[in-house]
Amino acid sequence: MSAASRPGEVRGLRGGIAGALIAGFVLFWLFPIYWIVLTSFKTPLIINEKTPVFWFTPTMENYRHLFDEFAFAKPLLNSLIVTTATTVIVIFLALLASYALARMNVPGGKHIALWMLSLRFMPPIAIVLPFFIAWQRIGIIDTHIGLIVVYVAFNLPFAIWMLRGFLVEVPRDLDEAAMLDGLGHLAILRRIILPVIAPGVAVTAIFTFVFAFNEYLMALVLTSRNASTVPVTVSKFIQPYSILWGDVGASATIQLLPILVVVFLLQRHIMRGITLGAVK
Amino acid sequence: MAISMERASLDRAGQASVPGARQARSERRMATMLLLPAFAFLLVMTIFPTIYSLWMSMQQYNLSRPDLANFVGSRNYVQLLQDDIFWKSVRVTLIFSLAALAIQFVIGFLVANMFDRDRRGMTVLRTLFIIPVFTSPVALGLTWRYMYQPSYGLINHFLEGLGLPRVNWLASTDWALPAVIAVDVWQWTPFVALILLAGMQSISPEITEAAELDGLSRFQYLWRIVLPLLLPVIMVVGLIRLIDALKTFDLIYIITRGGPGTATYTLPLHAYSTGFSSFLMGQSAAISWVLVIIVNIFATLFIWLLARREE
Repeated sequence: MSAASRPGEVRGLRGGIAGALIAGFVLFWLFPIYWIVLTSFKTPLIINEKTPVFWFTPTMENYRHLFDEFAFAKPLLNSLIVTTATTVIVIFLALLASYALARMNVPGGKHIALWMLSLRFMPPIAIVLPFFIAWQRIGIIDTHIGLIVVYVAFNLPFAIWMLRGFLVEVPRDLDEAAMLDGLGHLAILRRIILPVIAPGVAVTAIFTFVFAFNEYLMALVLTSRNASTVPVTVSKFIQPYSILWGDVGASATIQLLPILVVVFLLQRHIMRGITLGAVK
Repeated sequence: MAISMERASLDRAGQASVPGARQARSERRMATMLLLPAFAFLLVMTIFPTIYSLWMSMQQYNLSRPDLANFVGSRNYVQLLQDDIFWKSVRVTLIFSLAALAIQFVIGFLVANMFDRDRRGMTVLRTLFIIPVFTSPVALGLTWRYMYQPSYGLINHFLEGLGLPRVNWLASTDWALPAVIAVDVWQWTPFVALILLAGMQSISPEITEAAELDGLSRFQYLWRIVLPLLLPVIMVVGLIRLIDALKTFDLIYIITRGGPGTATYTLPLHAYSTGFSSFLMGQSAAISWVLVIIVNIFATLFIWLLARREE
């Protein structure tokens, strides 16, 4: 996407300087991320140094501590299980629902779509208490299932809305031609539509994944020992008289890496996803 | 919508176009089947907690003694309205949300304008800039807490380098709230900026060219042309951000736990502490309901705006 020239826009050398200034600004903005990644490779001695240290011999000590002392592998696995299951279920249900909403004549379809979107605004704190008590009674407190069910409910409205946005943009002639060829709706969805909106599905999946992976409040209330996720474990690095900054840095870095990779792989589509629904 | 009604009425009238009517009916059955799983699941998952928490908010219910629960009607709400801490937390919630929103829009607009030019490398910078949006609030909150640390934190170190006094950010009743707002601004300004940028880039080249021919300065162009054209986008994004800010729990809980005193004690934190530290589930549900009502005012406005645009 390239912008047309704007009034007062500078070019040439001055434009180059402007570009460098923008790059400088972005790097300045990202400094906290750089700082915490750097911290993850410092020894406790360097971390508590009164003057911040930028150059030092990196150590993997914090990562070792994280996995040995806090058994970080378990919450990491819990997070991956819950997040992956949530994403798969959400995308499956959302694809079916958004296809019906975007491309079929559903009586009251528009109202259903708006109602679903409105659910996105429900404050988690208002929902989590009833689920806490209900899950205790049913016996799925502190289990993967208990968390997955709630996460699916929380992500489904947004996913449906987002996929609907991508689906509306696919030209209608495509399905009409397929229908004339005698294909049913499910076949059209799978064979014609899905390949076209694959980037949209990927972006929706990533948003769902990131939300579920980062979610704290519901995981804090609905899990304790067995199913506790990464954010819940990380929040325990805050101890009464100190915070284990080395472990914080290491865990933050581990959480950050997959997100960085994915954001860069899908950068163009992510921009589309972010602006979807807001600009159109 | 209109087409389906037409088809339905044709259906009922038993018109000659039998294959068309049958197709319409089978399509509707198919649509229902596709929609039903998500719809039914969401219905159950919203109706149950809504009714349960409403009922709970009219109970005296202590989590440590569930056997003593009894119905008290509106008493929890009446108590809430007379409670000083409740009103303080309403105030903190509104200051946090509105201040964060305002700052995000001012910086976001300037950044969007900065990005809104035709240069190579902009795409990469834009992608880098979006990263904060995807970071975990828990990790993020701790990162900033580390930087706010009074004796070895980076921020005080820089302040000292500039000859300014050190501040004990998170322990100061004056500075804790601005410090927390700054983190929210850090995380969400990129989101606002990139949406505004997309809006700016969808402004048609003719308008931009006309502005250039008229000899408008960059500032005049932004103020007189871009801002009015972006108003619908600003409304929608503003409402999304406002609602999300009103609901914020994780970031504040991790950075300050609501302290010092009630300096950063927002409604979600109040509801959480009342329910899960003091075990007063009825009170906690009542606080949540106040939050739900506040959020719903803005959510209704949002849905109304969107519905109008979809027409």
